[in-house]
Amino acid sequence: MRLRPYVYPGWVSAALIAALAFPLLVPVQYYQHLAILTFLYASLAVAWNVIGGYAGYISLGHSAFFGLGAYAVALAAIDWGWNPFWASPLLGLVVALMGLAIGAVVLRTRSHAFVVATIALVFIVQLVAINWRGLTRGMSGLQLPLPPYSPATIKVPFYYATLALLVASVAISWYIKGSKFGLGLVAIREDEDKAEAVGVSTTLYKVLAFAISVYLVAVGGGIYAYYQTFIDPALIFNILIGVQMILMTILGGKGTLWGPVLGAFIMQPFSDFILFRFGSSQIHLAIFGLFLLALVLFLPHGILPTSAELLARLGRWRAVRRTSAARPVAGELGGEG
Amino acid sequence: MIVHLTPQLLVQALILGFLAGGVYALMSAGLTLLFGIMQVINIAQGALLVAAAYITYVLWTRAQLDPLLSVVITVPVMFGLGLLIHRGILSRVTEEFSAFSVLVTFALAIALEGFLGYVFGGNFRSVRPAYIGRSIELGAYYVPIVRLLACGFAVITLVVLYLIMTRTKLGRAIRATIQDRRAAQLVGVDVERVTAVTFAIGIATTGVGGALLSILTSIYPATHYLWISRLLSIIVLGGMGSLPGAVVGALILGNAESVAAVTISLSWSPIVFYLFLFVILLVRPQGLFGTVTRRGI
Repeated sequence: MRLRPYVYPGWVSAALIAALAFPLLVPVQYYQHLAILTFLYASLAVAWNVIGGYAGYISLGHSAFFGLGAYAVALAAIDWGWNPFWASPLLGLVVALMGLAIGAVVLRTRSHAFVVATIALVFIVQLVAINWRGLTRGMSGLQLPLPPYSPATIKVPFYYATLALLVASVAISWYIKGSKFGLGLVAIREDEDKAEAVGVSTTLYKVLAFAISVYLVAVGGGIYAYYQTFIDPALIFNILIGVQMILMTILGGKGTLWGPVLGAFIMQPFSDFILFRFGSSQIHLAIFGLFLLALVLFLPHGILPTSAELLARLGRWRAVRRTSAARPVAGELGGEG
Repeated sequence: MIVHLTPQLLVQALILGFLAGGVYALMSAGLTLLFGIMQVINIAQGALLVAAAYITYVLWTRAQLDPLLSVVITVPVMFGLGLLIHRGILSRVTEEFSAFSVLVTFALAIALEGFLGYVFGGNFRSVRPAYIGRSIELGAYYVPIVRLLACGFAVITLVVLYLIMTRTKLGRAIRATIQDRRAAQLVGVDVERVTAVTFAIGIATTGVGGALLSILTSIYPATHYLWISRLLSIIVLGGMGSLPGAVVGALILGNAESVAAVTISLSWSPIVFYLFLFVILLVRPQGLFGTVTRRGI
């Protein structure tokens, strides 16, 4: 019986079962907290990868939608009493609609100009959030109602919520990757004009990818708002959230399925450690900056593609050695052979 | 919410707007030059301005050196830094990852922000020579002396830059390289060296810009985002790579910001930059003076 096709799904299922059992086996709140943030950032990275990795449109503006999701859910929880766990997926759709409209506008630019436009996006949204005090209470921020769970297990629902988001994000990413839509996105990334010429509806595809990406990020924002129970414009629209999404995706491998997840699982504990050790001063920014710099300059393809490339090269080298060792070297080793 | 705009208010806003525009023009000239020579959008330009402002601050507090005079030190320092950045970092960015150049300069910007925050702490710093706080009164209008001096200094620097670009051999080589790199090579321009020097010049302008920054506002590491947003909007409006475009864009946006500040509010006024940026990118991405390239902007 051929076992090869069962290896990959086997690993994924095992990881999923372990993840589901984790909070029951490890009731330590700090590790649950770490897991929650890791799952959250992994979902954000996977979401970013849809537009940034598959389609090649590097957006530094996803923090804007993260914050929009957070504010939408916070306001719904405060003003209407909605449970953020249900409000997040629902209001995420509202933010995704905004993403659709904004994307249609912003995706008209390419390459450098697109990145600049997305940066401007974050700052516009942040500025509006700070100044439109009637809606957002400005810099004072919003205080969400406290989650109604007992203190001992308060993090567990968030753990499962972020895990669910991660599973959903990866599933969506996996589905896109194997579909004609995904192929179209890759074509857009490689050469958008030729893709258009060949018949790919580039505008539709990239705006749709953008909207999907925005949806997942907004849902993450909603869950995060509930988890923190407090949001303010400076915190939630911080451009560094978007930078971390990019960092994690590039680290793991931009454009791959599991790359962003791997990147997040490596970077989130690292980032938590950095903030713990150096967070009181501004030096943690310098560390992030230098890390991103080193990554983009020396490992732009990320871990997964680079290691795949190395393994392939190793395989080829081994194959060459095998064939040349099997063939007797003519003449040198004994005359008669 | 919107204050009624009287003619007097408008004129006062325009006075301040032109003065601010002059300074913005100098700051964005460097940025647009960097794009022209290397097609690099230097997100770190704002952070470099703040860094130069901090250097000016240190010279002011330690050596009592007037900020406008201390440019003789800051400009060479920033020039050297520019050569270093070009050599060490940007020359490694290949064509394949051209959008990555934005990530590279962004990484540089936050690294610089972190470093400055670590060294100088979280307090707002300011440089306050004697001419701060005083104004000249022209009838019903007032002209703050510090803004007049800053704008004047900016204009002088822009004129110097203009003279370098038009009257020197280096300037001709730079313009040739910007126009057509390969053709410049064919006529004997050492494009590698010219690129490095031009890049360094673009960064060196932050030496002057930073000094002006230090006397016009308080210095704080995180403000670099505000500055780079302003400058990006200006060069996109003017046309990325065009020096006259940068000047015109700066004057337009400086005045738009000033009018918005008096009619709506000071805290809302930066939104003018972002709105212009968006509208221009959609309606006329090459800006006022830019050229349309085949691959799009």
